Amino acid sequence: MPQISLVSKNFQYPDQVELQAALSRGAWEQWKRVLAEKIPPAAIIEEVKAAKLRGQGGAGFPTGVKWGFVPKDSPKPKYLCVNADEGEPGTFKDRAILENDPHLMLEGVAITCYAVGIHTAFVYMRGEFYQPQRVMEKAIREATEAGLLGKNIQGSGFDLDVIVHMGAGAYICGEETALLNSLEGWKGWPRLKPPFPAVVGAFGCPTVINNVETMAGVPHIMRLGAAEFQKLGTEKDGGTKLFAISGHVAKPGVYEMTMGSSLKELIYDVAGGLPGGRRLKAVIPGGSSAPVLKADEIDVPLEFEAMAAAGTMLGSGAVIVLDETVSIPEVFMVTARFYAHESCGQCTQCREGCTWIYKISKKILAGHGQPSDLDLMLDLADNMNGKTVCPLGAAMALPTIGFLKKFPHEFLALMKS
Amino acid sequence: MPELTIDGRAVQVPDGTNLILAARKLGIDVPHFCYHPGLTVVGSCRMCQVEIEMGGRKRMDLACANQAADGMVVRVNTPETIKARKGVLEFLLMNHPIDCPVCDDAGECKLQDYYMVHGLYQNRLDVPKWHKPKVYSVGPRVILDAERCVLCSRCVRFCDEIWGDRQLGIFGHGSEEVLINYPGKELDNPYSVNVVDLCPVGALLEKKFRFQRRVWYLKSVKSICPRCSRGCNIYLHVDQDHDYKQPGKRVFRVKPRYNPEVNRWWISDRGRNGFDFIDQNRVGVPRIQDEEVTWEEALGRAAELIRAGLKTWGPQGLGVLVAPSASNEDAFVARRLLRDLLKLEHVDFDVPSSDQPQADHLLLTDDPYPNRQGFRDLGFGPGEGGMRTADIVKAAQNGKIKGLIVAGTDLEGVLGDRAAGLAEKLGWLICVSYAGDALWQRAAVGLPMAVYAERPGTFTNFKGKVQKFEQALTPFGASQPQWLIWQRLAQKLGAKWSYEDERAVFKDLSQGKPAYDTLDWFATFGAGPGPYNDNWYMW
Ligand SMILES: Cc1cc2nc3c(=O)[nH]c(=O)nc-3n(C[C@H](O)[C@H](O)[C@H](O)COP(=O)(O)O)c2cc1C
Ligand code: SF4
Repeated sequence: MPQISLVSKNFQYPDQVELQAALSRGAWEQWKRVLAEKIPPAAIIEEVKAAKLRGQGGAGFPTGVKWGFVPKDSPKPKYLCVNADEGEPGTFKDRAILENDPHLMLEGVAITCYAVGIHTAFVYMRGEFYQPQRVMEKAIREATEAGLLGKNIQGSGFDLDVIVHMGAGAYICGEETALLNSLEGWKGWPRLKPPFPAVVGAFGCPTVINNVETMAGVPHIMRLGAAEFQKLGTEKDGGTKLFAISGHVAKPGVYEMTMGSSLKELIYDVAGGLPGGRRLKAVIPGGSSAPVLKADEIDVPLEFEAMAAAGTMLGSGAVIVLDETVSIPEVFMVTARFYAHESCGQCTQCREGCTWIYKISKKILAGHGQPSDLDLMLDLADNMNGKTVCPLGAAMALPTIGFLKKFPHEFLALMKS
Repeated sequence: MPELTIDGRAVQVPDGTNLILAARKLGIDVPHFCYHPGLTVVGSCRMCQVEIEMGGRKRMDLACANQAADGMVVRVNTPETIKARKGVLEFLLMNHPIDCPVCDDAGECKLQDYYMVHGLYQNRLDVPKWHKPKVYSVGPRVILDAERCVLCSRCVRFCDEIWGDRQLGIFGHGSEEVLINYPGKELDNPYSVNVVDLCPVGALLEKKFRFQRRVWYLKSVKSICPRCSRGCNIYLHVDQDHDYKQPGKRVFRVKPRYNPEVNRWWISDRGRNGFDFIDQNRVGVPRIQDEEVTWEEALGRAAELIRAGLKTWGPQGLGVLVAPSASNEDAFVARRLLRDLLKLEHVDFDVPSSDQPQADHLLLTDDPYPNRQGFRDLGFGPGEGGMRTADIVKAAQNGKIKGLIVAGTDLEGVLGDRAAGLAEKLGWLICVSYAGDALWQRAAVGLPMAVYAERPGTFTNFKGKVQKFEQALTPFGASQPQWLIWQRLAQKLGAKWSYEDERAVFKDLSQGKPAYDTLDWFATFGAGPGPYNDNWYMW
């Protein structure tokens, strides 16, 4: 059974956003158990490691391992930043959690903070997320009033404040170090790494940054145990993942799948296939930064390594399905426009390269392209790829290479010979 | 002290040295725009990519953000790094107006230099360029052409980190990003022109220097800033060969010279703007009253007046004021003449100035003179019972002092109209001066003096550090260094000693004084050996 209801189990209940209703369906139980049984923090980190939970924000870094990088005996305070910036085009799965089951994420936040020794958590939320902001702030208020957050939680002596911080709508502020700068009140420019945020993060202090969905997985690990959770997925990718599928499918939406399910199954069985009997042309499998797959390449497991082996990435789990009516050069132009607009402007190659590629793509669509433009764009992509402060430069370069190498004929067709 | 190999050559550097500085120690230049040793590392221009091999693993990474480690193998120029740099350069030039022929930075521009090394490609851009603000005044002394800007953020970091006030910022995102004033702020800090030195291209330019001279006509001479007692190390940029455009103007700008113990990479705008006096209102011919005469005549007359003054009024009737803008050599010879030979008592250097600097946390002190400490150290000053400046001036005004010798003072600036009146009260006034001010006009004898830029010498800064400045220009007209004027006067008054040049004076005055022994007259005064180029504004 690849489709599954774990994180998304309670999305169906409109009253799940209310604390009482959530409690009746088992919310916060794992948090109370952790405190009551005084489970050692180190044991929780080991459990999350063993569960093979991987970051759901795009990079897929093993979550327990990341927590382990935080220095144990730092004299400074430590922070958690929940990345709720969800800006990657095509991605709308964090929003589903934030709006439908805020207490699930908050419980994960509480357990994470306990495990790492954190007393202040920030939820950095995308500027446009007005509704999720209201839901989340209410959930925090209710949980604090009920003694699940705040000072001396459940008499344990453990304190935790959760603060919602709204961004201003820049995609780059989803990048973890840009997020930190933005949180601190600076311009959202990614920082050079090292030092990594786990050592020098928010306000110069050790900081864990995790995606909303990653947080939502934590209570399930505590409930099922690491082994059970991991077994839902594959050897290296434990548990489940939410996929936001959009484009030319009969039933676009957010679906939860076990790790390692097939992309083909997701498109055809779960999301109902392509409407109107049209043929599939291409799939962008992990948000706009993921290189495109051709119709005959979609038989891949939804798993970080397998996707990488297929020359693309699982990314944020945003699957964009494109049928035969779609013009690839147009999709490419729209993608380039996005990155040209969202480049933070810090690195030379990304700042100028994204715009240059966008301008060329526009020129081609206007019928003024030449075949040499394809080589030029590939060379520009090479000059950008992997040579910048943050991966946004690569997020433009890799799809460029993907679109141009897989669909050169569509570009050439727009050029007058 | 990690030892590493860069381009096949071994080098040992202190812990924490980054690869740009380590390479520089071997004389290897790693191209860069945003990195500057005086500012935090941001690694955003991406120009300094090198190949780093460590533990058998190779990767391409930034030289600015990676520190030297034992056993590291660094290759600055591999096909990959050269392509990467060429790529960066092409991106930077993509929206650049390529207006070198009218750009003041031509000749000192990193884009130009690196293009000659890494560029030389055929232009591949056939889409329109962005347009951004041009000829935009960001502050009273600095002008911006945002189209030339490479957004390295050095200027922004200077204001933030060195001065401590955000006066500039980079706004917007993507390639529409632009450097401009922080909202509601002017780039008006007292060190603002340092951003012009920091700017690796021609985006930020000094208004005072704009369109004045192509930089390749300028000769760069090591000097010391005379505008406060810090003694910041500077270069004077002079042109003696091309007087056709602005007759008489020889000094075109002042640039900072790196010295880790004094001013690091910076100088104040006050110091940078303080060279006009070198070429303005100068006097170059000795005078007796309003008549131009030879040096022999003028010195003979001055000696006569002094001798007669001593006879009729005694040493109590004579006063001397020497501004401590004069060098140690000047002060030393002056002391030998005035105190040792003539036994004058009312001799002082604590003269006021109308041009008071405002001290701050960075460099400026509140002392307008560069060598007050030197005068003190050399024992120049009143004898027992001698008066200080204020009393000497008062005594001159009420007729107690009848003969007054002034050298390089700013009495006109301080006393205003009363300066002229002062001269009239006196029996005689001997004026050693570079400027044709009110005192010069009224002097019985006027002896024209060369300014610091026209001869070598040393200043002692307020911390007691003795620093040498070199001769950048020939003395204006027939003017002579102050020490030589005192020496020739001394000879007329019976002294048996004489020095051949400034170096001989310095040798004599530094005898047995450890502070001076550290300074070797012949050494070139930079930061000493080390990875820093003291021609730092080319960083
Ligand atoms: C340009 C860019 C945008 C990103 N945007 C998001 C985002 O909106 N949400 C998110 O969770 N992670 C985003 N990331 C990934 C984060 O940098 C980071 O890897 C993630 O928040 C870590 O959490 P995780 O380990 O739980 O996935 C982005 C990364 C880049 C380079
Ligand atoms: S790669 Fe792009 S978005 Fe990332 S830091 Fe550099 S300029 Fe900013």
